[in-house]
Amino acid sequence: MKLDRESFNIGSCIGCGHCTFACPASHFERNFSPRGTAENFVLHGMERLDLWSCLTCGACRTVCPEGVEFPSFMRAVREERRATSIPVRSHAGIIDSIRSLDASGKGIGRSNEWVTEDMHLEGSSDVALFVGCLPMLDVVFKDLKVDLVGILRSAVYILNEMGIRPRLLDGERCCGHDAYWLGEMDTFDRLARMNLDAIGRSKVKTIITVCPECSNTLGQIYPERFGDGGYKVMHIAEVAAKGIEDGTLEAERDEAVYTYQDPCRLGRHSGVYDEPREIVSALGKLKEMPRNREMAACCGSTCFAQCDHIVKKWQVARLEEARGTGADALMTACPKCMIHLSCAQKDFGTYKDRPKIPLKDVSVALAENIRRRE
Amino acid sequence: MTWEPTIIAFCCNWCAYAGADLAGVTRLQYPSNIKILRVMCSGRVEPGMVLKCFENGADGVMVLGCHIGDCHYKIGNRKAEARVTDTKRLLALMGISEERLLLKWISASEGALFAETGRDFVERIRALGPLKGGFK
Ligand code: FES
Repeated sequence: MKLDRESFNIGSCIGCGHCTFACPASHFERNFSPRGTAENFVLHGMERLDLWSCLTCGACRTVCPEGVEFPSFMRAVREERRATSIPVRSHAGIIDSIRSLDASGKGIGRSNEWVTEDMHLEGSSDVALFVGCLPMLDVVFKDLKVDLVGILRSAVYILNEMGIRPRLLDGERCCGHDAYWLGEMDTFDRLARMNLDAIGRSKVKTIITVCPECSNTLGQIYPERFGDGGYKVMHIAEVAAKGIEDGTLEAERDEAVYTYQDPCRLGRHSGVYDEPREIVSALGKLKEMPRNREMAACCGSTCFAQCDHIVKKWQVARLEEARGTGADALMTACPKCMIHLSCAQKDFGTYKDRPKIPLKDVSVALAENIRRRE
Repeated sequence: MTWEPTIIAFCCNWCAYAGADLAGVTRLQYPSNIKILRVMCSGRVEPGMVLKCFENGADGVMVLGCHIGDCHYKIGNRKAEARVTDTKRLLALMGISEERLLLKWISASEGALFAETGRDFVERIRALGPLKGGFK
């Protein structure tokens, strides 16, 4: 695709700078701003653009009065310049390696060793649970001690409580979210084809994911690129909120105060703001952070592409904001938010204990709450 | 054409690589399937590197270093041990047999052991067959 001023409305930028104010990256990274990037592109082309500071979190798009699709623009520039610009390889490349090994089609399919005896799964169900990369990330980030498979287990528990027996997809691969946003389109296409095949083979109607990145990719990006696959995608928080509403899930409210971090893929990218909040309010008192909903600040990294001292600074700022609400715990609905924010808490360096606040995944908290009364 | 396994052997500079050298100098026979990659220490081998090998056509990967206590960088091979354990878990989760990854300590004087390890590993991979996908 040839990028020009018409692409993604970039040429209609009026230079108002709302985006730069909304963008968490440009608050801390002096050399990057969405407006500056758009201007640079219009005047000088894409040669000197900073490709990797943008988190594609979508805050800029929300405030833009001219409808500039900045995140998609950034993705397209990355795709275009992939050959000449050095791609980011954080964590010594393990995340990329997992993705591209998955995309090579090797291996006889995922082993589901996280599944325990007491879970009810049903091979012929038309509801599937999309596992995603969590079991692998659990190994990679084991020193952070975020129990990522615990999120999967809680999701299955919640579904079982609601009387849903999900199946797992045979031949499931990485959803390709990271590949898509980093502009690795050949990897993304291969992964997507394999997943669509797996979905087609199993004839499922509903796919439930625990990770907003998966639900956004499967639910919006696949249909955009490959046409409607005839399935519906829901994040576990949406399902659980329904359960709470119609009474199949009964949570007990306690005195605790929680605050909630909107994951960008669930909030701004998929428009799911209320459902996770319903869950949180069913568990305790919800106290919002100053920046919430459409204007929530990103957890600091997408696709594991940005992780440096600059990102750490705003993660600390976000965690302080959460602590400032006086909440007992910070809830989120995204495993990646859990990873990035607990990493920031672990390596707070000279920040002493300022950013410390317990982190919790909404589905884990809900499952714990229900289990407690059994 | 019959299939021949492709093996990548990460050898640490100070022991295993010298061991491989010795095997060559003493004219011991070992299969030509083994492609040696020299690293300064077995602790340098990251899970990502091993997965990359599998992605790009390796059927088996060996990580060879100094015996515990002999590492030139003191604890590099301890790190290698932990990393290989993690990598094996990752492989198992992704549906690749952990048999395809081997960690072994070979000192600079053990040329015969290098040749033998190589021969055994090639046979093991031959028995496992090429690394293929289950769902294409
Ligand atoms: S130098 Fe040989 S294993 Fe560390």
